[in-house]
Amino acid sequence: MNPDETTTAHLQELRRGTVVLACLVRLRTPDYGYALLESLNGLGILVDANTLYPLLRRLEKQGLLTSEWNTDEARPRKFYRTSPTGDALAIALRSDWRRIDDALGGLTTDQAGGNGPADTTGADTTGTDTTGDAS
Amino acid sequence: MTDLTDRYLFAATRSLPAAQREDLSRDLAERIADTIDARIESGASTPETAERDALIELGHPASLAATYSDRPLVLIGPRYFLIWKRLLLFLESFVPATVAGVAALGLVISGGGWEVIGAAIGIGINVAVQLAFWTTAVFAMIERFGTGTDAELGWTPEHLPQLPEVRRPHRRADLIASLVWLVIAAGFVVWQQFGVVWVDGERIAVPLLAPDLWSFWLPYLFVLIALEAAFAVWIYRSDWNWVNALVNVALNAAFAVPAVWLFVEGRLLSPEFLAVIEPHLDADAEWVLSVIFVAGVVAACAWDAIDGIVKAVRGGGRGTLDFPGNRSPRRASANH
Repeated sequence: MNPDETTTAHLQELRRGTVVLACLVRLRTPDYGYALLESLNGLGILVDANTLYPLLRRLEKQGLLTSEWNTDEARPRKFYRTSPTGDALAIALRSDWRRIDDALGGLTTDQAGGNGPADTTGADTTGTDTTGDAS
Repeated sequence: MTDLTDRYLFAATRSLPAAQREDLSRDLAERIADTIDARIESGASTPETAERDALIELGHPASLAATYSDRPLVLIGPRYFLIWKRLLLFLESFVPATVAGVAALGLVISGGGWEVIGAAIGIGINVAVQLAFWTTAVFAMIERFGTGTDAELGWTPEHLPQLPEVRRPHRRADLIASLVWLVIAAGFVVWQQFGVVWVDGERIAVPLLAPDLWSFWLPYLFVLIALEAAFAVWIYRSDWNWVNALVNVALNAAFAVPAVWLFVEGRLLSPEFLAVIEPHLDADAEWVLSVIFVAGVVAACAWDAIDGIVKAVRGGGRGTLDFPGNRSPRRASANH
């Protein structure tokens, strides 16, 4: 694996969970697969069709999304919408996202200032609280 | 929707249960149609080639269906791979050989000849293949339908293997094997005095070894056995080196030379024993058995002597496993 492939693999890993969050937030307004794909990519949340379509079905199976076939137009399309459970998960994911961002920010400052691991301990405590809320 | 798309949908969904087939088929049809439109719109494909291009973009229908269905394409995933491998290696290490051995024994008892070997090998291979197949099949089922957690797999840190002994991984086993063998040998020498021969189903008190030998050679043998035992303990506590290898050669010679000499002189076996077996053997058979006996004693002692020399040449039986914890004195001194 060359360095470029390594970078790509890690970026994918990092984005994997964020796509779920993006879908849950974006589908508070119902939409169908391809339109969602385009709007996410337009917002700079890069996601592959091979990832997105199966993901939508999985989230539906988990009760985080609901779906409905729209047959009004010439071509039938499946519209997805975030369910109340999905909404709750989105809130939990977002607060965890912020915690991680804060922690990473603190870590970067630490590195620059050369301080001890005191801040990391603080971030861990916050993390435990957040996880408790989510579940 | 054309013939090509229909065929793709069929290929992608045919392995699914009917209920899911309909559902996924609709989803995929929507996705394919949207992809075709997007390709035409962006100018990536002409309207004639767009469908084909879109299907190529989607990839192999079976793997696409797998991404939708949450069913893994691997037979055994990482969670079960190691336990599968460990179990398979463990079973394959002795089951086929044991079955082949038992089968060969059965064939011999029922009157088979040399052709038994071929049959036993065939049975062993068959068992090995069956074992691998069924073990893997069971794990593949667990992979797909099991809901077991790691705890249910019965794994705890206690299952971690012991680190190999840094020095001489087999030394304890070697010591125990040597001592057990010497005790058996000593026991046999005493036991044979009270008769080992059965005539017409009844044991008669005919000693195997000549009773005259008790005056010197049999006590000598006991001393030798005691020395061998002491030597085995000594090897356990120290290690193989040139001096110990030479002592081992001397001990083996101290047994082999008198044994062969006494046998050739005709003083080893008791006259009573010879009298009992003589009627059953012709001259040729006696000659063959004699050669086998002498060759057996010489070969066994030479093997043991050479084994000691080989271990000494290798610098003792130190563990050869190369891992960070292996800091045998030899390796460490080589580094300095």
